[in-house]
Amino acid sequence: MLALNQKLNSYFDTFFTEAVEGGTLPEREKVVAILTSATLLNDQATLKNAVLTAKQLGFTKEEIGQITAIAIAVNAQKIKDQVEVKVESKPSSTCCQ
Amino acid sequence: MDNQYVILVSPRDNEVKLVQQQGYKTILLRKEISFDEIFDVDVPIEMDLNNEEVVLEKCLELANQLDIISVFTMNEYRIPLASKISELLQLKYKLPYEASLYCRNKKMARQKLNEAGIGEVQYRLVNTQSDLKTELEDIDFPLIVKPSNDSGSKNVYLCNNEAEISTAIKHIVQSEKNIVGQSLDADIMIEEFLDGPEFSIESVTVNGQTTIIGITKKLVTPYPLSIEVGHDFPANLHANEEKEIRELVEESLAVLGVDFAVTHTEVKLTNKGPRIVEVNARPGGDEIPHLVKAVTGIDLKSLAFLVTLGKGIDSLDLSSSTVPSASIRFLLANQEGKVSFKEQFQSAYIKEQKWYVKNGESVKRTESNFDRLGYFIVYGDEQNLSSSKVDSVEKGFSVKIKNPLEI
Repeated sequence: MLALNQKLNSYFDTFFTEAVEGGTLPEREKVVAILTSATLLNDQATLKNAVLTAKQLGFTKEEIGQITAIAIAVNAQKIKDQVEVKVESKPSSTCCQ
Repeated sequence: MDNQYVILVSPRDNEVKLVQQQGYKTILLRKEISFDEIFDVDVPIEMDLNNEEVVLEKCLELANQLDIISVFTMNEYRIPLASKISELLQLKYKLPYEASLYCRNKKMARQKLNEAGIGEVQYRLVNTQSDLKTELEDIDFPLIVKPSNDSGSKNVYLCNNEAEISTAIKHIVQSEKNIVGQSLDADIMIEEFLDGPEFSIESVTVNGQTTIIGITKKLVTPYPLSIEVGHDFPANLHANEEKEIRELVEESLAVLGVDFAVTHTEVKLTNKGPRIVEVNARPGGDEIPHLVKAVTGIDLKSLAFLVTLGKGIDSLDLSSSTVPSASIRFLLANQEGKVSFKEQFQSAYIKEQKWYVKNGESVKRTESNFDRLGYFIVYGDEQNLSSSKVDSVEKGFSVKIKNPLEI
């Protein structure tokens, strides 16, 4: 839909290219960021490309696995917090009540 | 070896495993790489392999960063590209690019062999603009019409007159590209029909020295279908026939400049002597390497990789237990309908069986190597040749095709 507005679309393309391909981060760190966000968004196409790039940059299976694990853990933490039940601690003795 | 890499160009078999077993790291070039395959290799690179310029540029870039010692593929369509990369990277052991082209293009191979006077076969090259009458003036029917550089017996026609040739040419020109998107040669071959039994010769050439590992007898249905029904290894040939075939193949490989390659050469034994049908710079398909390994202990696929490192048969770990003969038979559908077979049929002779279809599935009549129903492999022993056991085993599977109209 953004393509309907050529000017804004062009701004986006410039922004995307600068964010993903330019900037100050080294290639390895950029691919970690892409792997993490693609995992969280469950974006299979981006994830595959990111894994391909990561392998080409020399990431090991274990390193790629850990990046994915961090993304899953952070996401799971959020779900865990959302469904947390407040548990009040009860005094062990009620004799004085 | 820890940091030595092998470039694999769109492998179609177990190339990745073969290279890893030898302790090398793998760079995979393929148009599309599956998620699983990404993790199987060290450096996965997706790229259009039909864009040679880009592929070569990428390989040069890789060679500047990594220690690349070999380029390997058993993919028929990518062998010339693998040779070209090897030459560009100035690798020591390689199939020369020119030889790889002879092995991919039947027109070029036939031209070269005829020029050298080796097993001469009459042929003409035509295209849609050719005047067939003139071209066919001094060549006798029946004739074979086929594309110069396709494979898998695709679009090969036996023609008995000019009209049939004209129809065959029309069919051939309809396919402008092969299954991997490469352009087909505009020249179509019209060749004398080589009448006689067919054999394939499994060999290896290292440092210009060819060793014939064995000769396989090929069983093919009669034209027009020409479906490969089975293979027997070794072929039961008279000594003089075998000698003639061996000499023809050795001379042909030398003339074509084949080196550092395992080859699968198809030959027909005509009444004028053996004649080359085609030379392939890779191990044969249709489980022929299985038969060869069972009988000789030589793993042709491992050898195909080892020759790219300059090594020969003596570098292989040969299988200790071998058998005198081995055969494969493919099961065909003689008509369209629902297929049934005894999947659980047991026989001590069966060493491997595979079904491409499920029991009860609707199948079409087998009209090419691509729609066979399955296969089984049997081994022979000291008393019986494997080929003498196949008929009883085949009956045991009791393959039946029930036509939908049958009650």
